[in-house]
Amino acid sequence: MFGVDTSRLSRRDLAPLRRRIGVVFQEFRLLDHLTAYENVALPLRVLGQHERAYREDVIELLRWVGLGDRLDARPATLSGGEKQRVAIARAVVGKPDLLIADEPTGNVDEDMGDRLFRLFRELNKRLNTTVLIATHDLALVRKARTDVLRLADGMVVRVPAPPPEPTAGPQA
Amino acid sequence: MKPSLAPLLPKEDAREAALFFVVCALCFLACLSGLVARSAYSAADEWTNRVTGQITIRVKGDDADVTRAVQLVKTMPDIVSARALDRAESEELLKPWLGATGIPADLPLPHLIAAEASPAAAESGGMGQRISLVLKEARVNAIVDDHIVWSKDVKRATDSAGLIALVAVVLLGAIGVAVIAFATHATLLARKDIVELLHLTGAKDSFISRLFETRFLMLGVQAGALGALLAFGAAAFILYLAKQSDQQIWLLPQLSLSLADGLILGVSPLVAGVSAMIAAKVTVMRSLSDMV
Repeated sequence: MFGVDTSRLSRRDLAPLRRRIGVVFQEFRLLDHLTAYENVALPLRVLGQHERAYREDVIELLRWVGLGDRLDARPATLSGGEKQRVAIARAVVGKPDLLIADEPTGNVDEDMGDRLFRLFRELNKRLNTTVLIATHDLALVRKARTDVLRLADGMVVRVPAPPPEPTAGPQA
Repeated sequence: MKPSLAPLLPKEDAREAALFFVVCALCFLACLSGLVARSAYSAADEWTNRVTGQITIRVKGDDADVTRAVQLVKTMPDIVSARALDRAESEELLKPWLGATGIPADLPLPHLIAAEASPAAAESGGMGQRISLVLKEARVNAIVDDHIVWSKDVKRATDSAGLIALVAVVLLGAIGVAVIAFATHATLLARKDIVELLHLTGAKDSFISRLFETRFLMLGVQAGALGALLAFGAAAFILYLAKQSDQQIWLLPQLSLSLADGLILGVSPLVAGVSAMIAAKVTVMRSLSDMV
């Protein structure tokens, strides 16, 4: 991974490698006793950065995901979509080289799913982050118009981008 | 926006409150045991110092025999002083058995001589036998008691009491460490989500461990300080009750505000805190080693 043989790395050396990977969990995994702001700032806090150094960046990121007015909200008071966006903001705040998102649209409605997907594209374009999304949402896959890695019979198979979905008519 | 960030570990829960109580109780018992151990050792020392070199001679005869015996003993080498006890002093000695209401004037009391040997002679021993020999040669019928037999027994008994108290302190300490390790493990399981998230976020093991170490160090010190304070209060109360009832208090916890008492009461919370911290560190690091 990242040109490093991870099997030969010590535990101490694995931690910096993990920092290069952002993870969006399907069940969000936000810390309930922290606010949205504190949850997003968590990876920077773990790095030992002083709050003064990252405060504006975290607030700006939360505004970017549409949660500029929910900085002090705790996870219990956030909707599913809001939690998902906090989780995404937390995953990208450290500017990772790789972002892994597990069913990021699994707990949100279609509109929010589209918004989140646009967010991932922005991340890819703006920060040059490789985004790997695990999903069962075929509509999302079609919208992505990008290569797909299909997991079948224990094998990962690269398949070409599926054709765009017909625009007319309701979806099943 | 709040001025300061919330701690990464949530504030203590019921489990930690229970652990606080357990550490406090263990520290309380350890401090009391420590005070008892110190009392036992200092009582043994005091008793031994008080009787070492002191020789009591009971003369079976009249006043002339007593005077002769005093003169003989006084002239012996290694004897610092020797004097006959008057009737009032003898009555004072008998008071614990015959009461303070007064002893009939016609009751014959034993003729007693109090002698004191030099420290060197007391240390080397055998002074009682030498006095016995001198009095025997002078045909003075007397019984000589240099207190060695019973003072050795008393010292052995108090040393044993002190040792038992020290063993209790060590056992309580070991139990405390085991309980803290168990509680840390339980807390860690309850906070597994936080630990995993911090781990996946790139936190080093030492960073995660430090969160628990700090938490348990503070818990140990605070609980230990409360336990030591309660032990101080309990010891003071026991001492007060003992003095009120005018009873012997040798083996009860003593409070002299000496350096030894201060060390027992002051060091215990630190030991509790450091033990808690080390137990937490070992438990956390062991749990983290299971994570990739």
